[in-house]
Amino acid sequence: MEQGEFYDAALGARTQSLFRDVNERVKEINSAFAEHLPLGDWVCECADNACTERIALTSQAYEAVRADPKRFIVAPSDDHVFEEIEDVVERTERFWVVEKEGPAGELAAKVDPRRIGLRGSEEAMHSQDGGDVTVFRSLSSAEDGAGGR
Amino acid sequence: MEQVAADEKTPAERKALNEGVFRRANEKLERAANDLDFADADSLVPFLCECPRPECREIVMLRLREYENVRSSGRGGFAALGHEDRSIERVVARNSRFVMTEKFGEAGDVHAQADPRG
Repeated sequence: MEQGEFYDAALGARTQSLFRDVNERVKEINSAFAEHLPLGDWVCECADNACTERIALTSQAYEAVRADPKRFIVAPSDDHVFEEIEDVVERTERFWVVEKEGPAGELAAKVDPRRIGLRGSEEAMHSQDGGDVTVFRSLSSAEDGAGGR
Repeated sequence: MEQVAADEKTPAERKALNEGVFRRANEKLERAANDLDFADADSLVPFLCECPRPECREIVMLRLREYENVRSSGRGGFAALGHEDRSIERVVARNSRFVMTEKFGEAGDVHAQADPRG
């Protein structure tokens, strides 16, 4: 893989990982307000860093996706799929599931907060295990302006 | 995260506690953004609107320095445009992405006391 392609894959994985974290926090909020919310309201995890589209799915469906660290939930449209780094593995009326492939998938798995206890889980808040996020260092300087993932 | 139950709390207190749920989630998102190297000056980071409506899941994009500015006061918060609740908070700053708010009265006291930063 060319270095530029690696950067593109890493940027995509980094941003999708951050939106995965958003949904992990949404999960906590859904739980806190469970009496008000029959169906969870989640955020599209696609690789467009300007996307804030909302997706309705059950907690069970969300958990099924989270069980695989290479999978992400996106809004049900080709506009939210980046074929260079992922494949659509499930299509429903309300959401699609994409699976990241190659280096992007490996990076996404490395920073999965459920596997490395990183980024805000209660048990990891004082952990010394920061997980392997060093791969993302210096990506910011490689980005040519905002917008791309 | 502990569940927010309907109880005998006043409306202002209830709203402040609701906003606290979002604030705690956003504190974790800030750590995630730092870990994933979004700490540069220009990156916009997705946070959750801190308005008091339990059903709100609006994403608000802030730079980390803007977020830190909000968190500098225990009574401070931010909300998507139009999501501020003027019965418990005043708008102290506004831009094209969000309003920065400061809670007052009972809501301000409750919010400040529950500030995870102490």
